[in-house]
Amino acid sequence: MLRQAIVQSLKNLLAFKARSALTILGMVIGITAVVVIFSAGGALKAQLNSYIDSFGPSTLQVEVKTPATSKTSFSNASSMAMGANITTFKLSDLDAILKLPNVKDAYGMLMSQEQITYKDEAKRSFVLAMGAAAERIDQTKVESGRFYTDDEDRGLARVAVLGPELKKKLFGDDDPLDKYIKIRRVNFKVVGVLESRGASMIINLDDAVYIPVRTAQKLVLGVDHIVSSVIQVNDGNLMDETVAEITDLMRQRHNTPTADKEDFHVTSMEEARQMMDTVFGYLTFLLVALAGISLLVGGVGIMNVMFVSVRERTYEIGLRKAVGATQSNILWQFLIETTIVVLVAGLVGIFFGLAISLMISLVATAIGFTWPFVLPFSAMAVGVGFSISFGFVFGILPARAAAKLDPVEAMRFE
Amino acid sequence: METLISIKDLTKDYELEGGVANILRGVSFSISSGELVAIMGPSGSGKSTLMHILGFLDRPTSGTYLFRGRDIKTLSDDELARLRNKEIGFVFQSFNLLKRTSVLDNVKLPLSYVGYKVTDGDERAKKGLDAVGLSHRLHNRPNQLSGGEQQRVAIARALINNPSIIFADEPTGNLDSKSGAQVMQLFKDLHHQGHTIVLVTHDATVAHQAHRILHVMDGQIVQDEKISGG
Repeated sequence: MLRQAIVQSLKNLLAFKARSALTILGMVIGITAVVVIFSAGGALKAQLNSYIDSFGPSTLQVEVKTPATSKTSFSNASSMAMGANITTFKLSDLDAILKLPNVKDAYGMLMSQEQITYKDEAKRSFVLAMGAAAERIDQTKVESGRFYTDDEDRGLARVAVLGPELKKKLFGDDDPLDKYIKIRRVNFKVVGVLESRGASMIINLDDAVYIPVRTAQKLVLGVDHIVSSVIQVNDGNLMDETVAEITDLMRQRHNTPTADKEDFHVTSMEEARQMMDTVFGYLTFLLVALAGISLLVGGVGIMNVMFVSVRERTYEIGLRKAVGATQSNILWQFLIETTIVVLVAGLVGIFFGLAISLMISLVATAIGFTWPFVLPFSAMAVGVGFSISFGFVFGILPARAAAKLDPVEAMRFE
Repeated sequence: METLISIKDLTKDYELEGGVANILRGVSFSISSGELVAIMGPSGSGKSTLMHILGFLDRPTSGTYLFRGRDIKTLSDDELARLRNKEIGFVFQSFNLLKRTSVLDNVKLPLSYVGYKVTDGDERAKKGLDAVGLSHRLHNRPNQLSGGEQQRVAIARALINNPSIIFADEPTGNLDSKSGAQVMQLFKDLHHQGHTIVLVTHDATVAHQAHRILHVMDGQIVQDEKISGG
């Protein structure tokens, strides 16, 4: 009975190819959207998580920020984007923070894009000026040579560590150790090459040169501030207290008694992760709700077509009843047909969704992002589940209409 | 002979706009197994409605209908459907075959609703089609067949569950005289094999091939005529 109904449904679907295709289109779009949202969202989330993880556990960040004053957060964000320069965050702030009891280690950071030259090879790349503690906190590993030391930082040593991609670009297969590269006319001795860390959200950490932050301030950039810092704590359980202590300390030092005047922002990684999870949750919900509208419209379309189908096949239904089909026989026949139509839509939707997600992943990877292709099993389950339940919901009314037909009346209908 | 059908004071009313139409006005008779009966009357006399009630496709407004001694008033719609499947074979004027379905599958259609899995469906259908002389048409579509052939497919379908009684509603109405004669001969053969057959017709020539004619007029039986050697 079931097998027969399934075969019958597929036959009917194939008999009206164009109509079937149009019928399921709405639902295909909806399910495609759900799959893409989950897959792309999953990739983005994994990416953000690995970015957060790259700072290591039990760390927090202090960054500069434009004071809010009376402006809205929108104008704050735009002034940041337009390059408003906050120069109040100094390495001396970091020295003071390091004296706090739960603070274990810390490094300050500056970032700049510069021309890096080796012999006649010149490449534009990121200069990441960091304290030597970066090696310990970020658990950076060197492929060859070594990372620079605290002493070299304090002594304004002109030493550099290369990311593996930049090393390849400048030196090819040659050994770069003890060779000299030039950053803004300053010669730096290469002392190490890092292991690959993969591309991060904003910059490719492998295509960069790392130099001591003080050397960068005095000899390259001619500034005395930093833009951000990463701080490692002793006890991760006291994170909230430490964030408060650092905030207090910074307020005193920067003479910014109230939050709206603050020119810095303290974020713990856990806090960042929670915030991201919340935003992601809302965003996913919103997008799925939008896709849900498409599913609903698709479902109503399918219901409509099933009503037409019942009407077209009134005569067949009458005949089936005359030879002994019960109401529930007819009800199930149409329910199964609707479900199969919707299930086909679900499978086609999942196929397109996966294809589009894969394409996004390939394109994103090609233009330099690390964007893994995530197989969204949850979305596929949701897609199939939605399909089957929508088949029942939108199939039940046409199927009941068919089941309740009077056989004598129905057979007169041709 | 066992009494298959026994009806008493059967009426059927239809609600119409501005009144009630009394299609059947107190009909009583009985049919025994093995009979070849014609229900004859002009169009609008109520003979088709009578056949629908006798075949469990419709219910009477009042009166009693005993099928093999069982009062059908007490049966649910689903029980009637199962009874139709098991006990009744229908042959209609316009054949009523499924157009996009092969001859073989059309004949097998009632087997879908017997309530258990039929394993020898193909064999039974082939045998039935062989009996009506269509074993060479198994995989054709109905629209590739002549009218007479289509009606013979319908007869094979009516017989597939080996029913107690066959109702044929104007079975020759859409056929030329030659095909009509073939179909009538088929009914007579079936009758000789012991099948109970009820022909519903307005055509006196058709009716006179039965052994008994129930004349219907304005919703009543006006004459119960026995035909000798019909």
